[in-house]
Amino acid sequence: MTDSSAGPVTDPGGSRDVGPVSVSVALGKVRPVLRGREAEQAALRTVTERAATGDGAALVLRGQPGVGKSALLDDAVAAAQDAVEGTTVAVLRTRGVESEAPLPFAALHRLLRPVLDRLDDIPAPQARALRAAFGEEAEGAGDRHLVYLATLNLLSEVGGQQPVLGVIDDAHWLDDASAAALLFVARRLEGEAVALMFAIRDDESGAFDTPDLTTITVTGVAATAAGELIADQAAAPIAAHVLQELVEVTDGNPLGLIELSRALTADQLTGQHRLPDRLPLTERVERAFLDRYRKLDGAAQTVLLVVAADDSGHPATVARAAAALGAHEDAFDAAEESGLLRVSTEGLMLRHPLVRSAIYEAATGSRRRQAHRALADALAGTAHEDRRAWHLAASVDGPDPDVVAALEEAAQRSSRRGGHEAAAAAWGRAAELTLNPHERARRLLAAAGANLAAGRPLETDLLTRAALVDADDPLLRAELLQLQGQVEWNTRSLDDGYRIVCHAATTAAPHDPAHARVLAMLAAALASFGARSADAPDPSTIVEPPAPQAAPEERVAGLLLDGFTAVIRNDWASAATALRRAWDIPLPLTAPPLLHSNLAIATMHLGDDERAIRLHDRQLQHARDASAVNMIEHALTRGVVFRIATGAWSEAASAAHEALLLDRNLGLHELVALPLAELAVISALRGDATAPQHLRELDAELEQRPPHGAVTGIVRGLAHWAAARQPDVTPSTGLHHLQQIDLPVARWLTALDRIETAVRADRANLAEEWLDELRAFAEGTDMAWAWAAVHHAQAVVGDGDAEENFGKALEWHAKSPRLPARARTQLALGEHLRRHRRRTDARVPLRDALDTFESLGAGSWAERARQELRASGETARRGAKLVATGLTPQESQIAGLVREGLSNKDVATRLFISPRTVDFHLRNVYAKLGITSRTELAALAGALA
Amino acid sequence: MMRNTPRAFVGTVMFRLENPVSAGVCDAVERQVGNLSGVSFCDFDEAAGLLIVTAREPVERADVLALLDRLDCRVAQ
Repeated sequence: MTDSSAGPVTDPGGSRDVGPVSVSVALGKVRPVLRGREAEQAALRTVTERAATGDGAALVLRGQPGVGKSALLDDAVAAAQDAVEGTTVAVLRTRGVESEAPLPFAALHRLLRPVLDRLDDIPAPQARALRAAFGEEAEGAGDRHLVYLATLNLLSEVGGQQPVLGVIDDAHWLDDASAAALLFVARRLEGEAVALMFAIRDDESGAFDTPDLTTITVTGVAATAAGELIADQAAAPIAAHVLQELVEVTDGNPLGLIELSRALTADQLTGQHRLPDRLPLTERVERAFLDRYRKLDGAAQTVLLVVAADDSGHPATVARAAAALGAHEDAFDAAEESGLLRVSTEGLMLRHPLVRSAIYEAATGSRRRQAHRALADALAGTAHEDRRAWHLAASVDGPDPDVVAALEEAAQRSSRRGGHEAAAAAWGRAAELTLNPHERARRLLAAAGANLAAGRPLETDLLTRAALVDADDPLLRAELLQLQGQVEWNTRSLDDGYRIVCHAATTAAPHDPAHARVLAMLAAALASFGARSADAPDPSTIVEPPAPQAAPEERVAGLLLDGFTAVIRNDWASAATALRRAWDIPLPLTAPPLLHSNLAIATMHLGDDERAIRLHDRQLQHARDASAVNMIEHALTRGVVFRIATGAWSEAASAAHEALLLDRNLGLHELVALPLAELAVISALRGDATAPQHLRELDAELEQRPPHGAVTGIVRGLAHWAAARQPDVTPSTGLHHLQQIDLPVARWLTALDRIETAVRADRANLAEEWLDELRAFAEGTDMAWAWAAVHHAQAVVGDGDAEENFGKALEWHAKSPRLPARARTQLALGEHLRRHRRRTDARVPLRDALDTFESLGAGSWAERARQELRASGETARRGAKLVATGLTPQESQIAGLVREGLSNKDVATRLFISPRTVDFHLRNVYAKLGITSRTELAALAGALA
Repeated sequence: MMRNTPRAFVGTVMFRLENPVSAGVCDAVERQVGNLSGVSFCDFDEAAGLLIVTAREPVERADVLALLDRLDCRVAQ
């Protein structure tokens, strides 16, 4: 079981005795009544009612401590239960606990515990991932997105039988893993019978960042309600001017009103004596609690300090710890009588989190450490090993190997559960308590790696920098530099990232040449996508080539290094030879993942489309099997580039849409630019009416989040290509865009457009220059598509006999999978023949071109072929058109996958949404298309737009 | 753990500051943090907004944070 099983320390039931609650009797039940909260109550009720009709949503209550957020949540729960008397709303509750930050999924576990018996209703891999996240399964949780999806689907399944109200109080203190999972769900409640309500302090949000969720700011109550609240609690009548001052001082904050009025003497309440000096509200409330605390005897104070330091809420644990510090049972009575501590069947709870902060902060460091040590001892031998490790860490005032060992074990457990943030915290804390510099650096490396897995590059960077201060071992330094370089090229500067990876390779070279070669290969791969640094050595000079009989991994690394290096030098013959030899060596699955991924990436440089699609599809399958989201996205978007080249545009658009939805569904905003650029190119090449809209969307994205890292060149290249191929673009504007394409990969993809546009813009010299560049590539690589492009371009620039050039181009096209380029040559040949009055001869290539363009859905090209055919005297048929439907991108994607034969569950798994959401969108699709079944959907002719 | 839970450390710890600081404050931070018992090295990387503190003997993190707070430097969480 996870450490969360013990529950939170403050108020596990959720009801917290904050101000705006008084008690009245309604319909025979004791029911708290709120003062002055009608608007908030109505909003919460609406969210619950909507969820009951399958229109789920999330709502955030944000406000100061003590303003009454918890009371509103309690009221919403009571209202939900009243509203469906006789039936049931499944109410699930949890809260963030500040001290649980290092316990991954602790809060989520408490929320879902009542419905975990429904886990068998969701797909088995998701159920396994959730069990692993909760520490109930030895196997690792795998990709954490699977845990998020499992949470969504579990709630969705429960919602399928009865409406669900999930209530999460103190969400600002949720552990990172729970916060991420709940945010994922909160953004996907469309079509679900699930409502989620969160309460957050307005002065902190922690990992719970909610700018996109509907938020109600809860402010203080008005003067009338304030007077009623104080009248409910005060021992003496309050004078009007005192009430006015209290309302002014507290801004109507109910907890402040009650606690401050309670702290006043009768003379102060009636206005006989002046009020104490003013302090900020939170400090005043804390001081009021602290005054009460200090009036207690030492033993009762010890009990309260232990409860404040505790994060379990377990009476037995706290009792053992308090007893160890000399506080026995009667001290609990005194603490409870003070009103600061509540003891119930659900555990021990402090009156309010401000009680905890007041008492804990007032204690000396030494007293806090004693309390944590006592709690750690009390947890010895229990299942709560993670909590014990963190209490131990708080109990020491310097390095301690036993504490470090306990923290390392906690880190490993967190890592297995997919709690990367918690693992990073435990490893980082272990490092802080480690005296040996090498061991310290090793633990910081582990912490940095866990932060990277959690998607926190800034923290990764800080930890690698700290570790590099201590690390003397060159191989450890190389690992740290590799990590630092990865953060650098992904988030800041490709050039700096490249320089750091070169440094890593140089550092490792004298000690582990094989590893250094992989690092040098990585550096060269970055350089082949545009990275440069005057301060970095040439990667090819860092390490000797491997021996001819070296292991396959070493030879592949050496050949990839040679290949990428040759690409940087535009030495295409050497590049092609080295890369082809690398591809021909069978590589074991156990080889470093960097080798496998770079074998696939290298296909881009030669435009080896068929191999590229094969390798990326294999990568995609492995990624799907492992539900590894980042790798799925990577394989999808890289595969699209080659599908654009070969004319598999429907598949390309589908894959790019899938990647885009994945990025947006999972908040991977930094990855959005590439699939958007691909979609912009596809629609521009097709000549879709939506092409300008796609380009605008891409431009806006690039302006908001300029691309980083190795994809920069390809994203920019695709963006300029899409801009140059917009309808009605003048040759000079088109050329302006095409001249800005630097990356060779992108230059080859656009070679024919660039040369044709240069000719149309009367820039013959530039066209010749680009043709020479393309010819050098074709001569070096002997790629069929490149030779075809050379001959076609020669015809365009007037280099030799045009018909002969087109003929040779078509011979090369016959050996290449690039259908759009072939059809363009056929069209150009047809145009040439027609202009030379050979109208009958022209019809053959024009018909072929038209067939291909129609099959690609390339409307503008097809129309041009039709016009040529008409000019040649043939009446061309009208082609199939895209079915204009008005579907949203998500509906269109879901419809496309259903048409491929995927079930709703499969579509849901693919797109990281719930089957119920798929069903919701599918119903919209049916309504928009005027159909009633997936059979009819599958039978629709043409692609959906 | 809570933000004021005891947290003694040895080795190098980086503190990322939320806002730029003036040269005067920068000097004061380096001098005063460098004078804390146990701190063997302290450097402020102004460009990166990073305070780098190396401790050869245990130093209480709260002591560093309190000092930064007194100098009006907010540490990013």
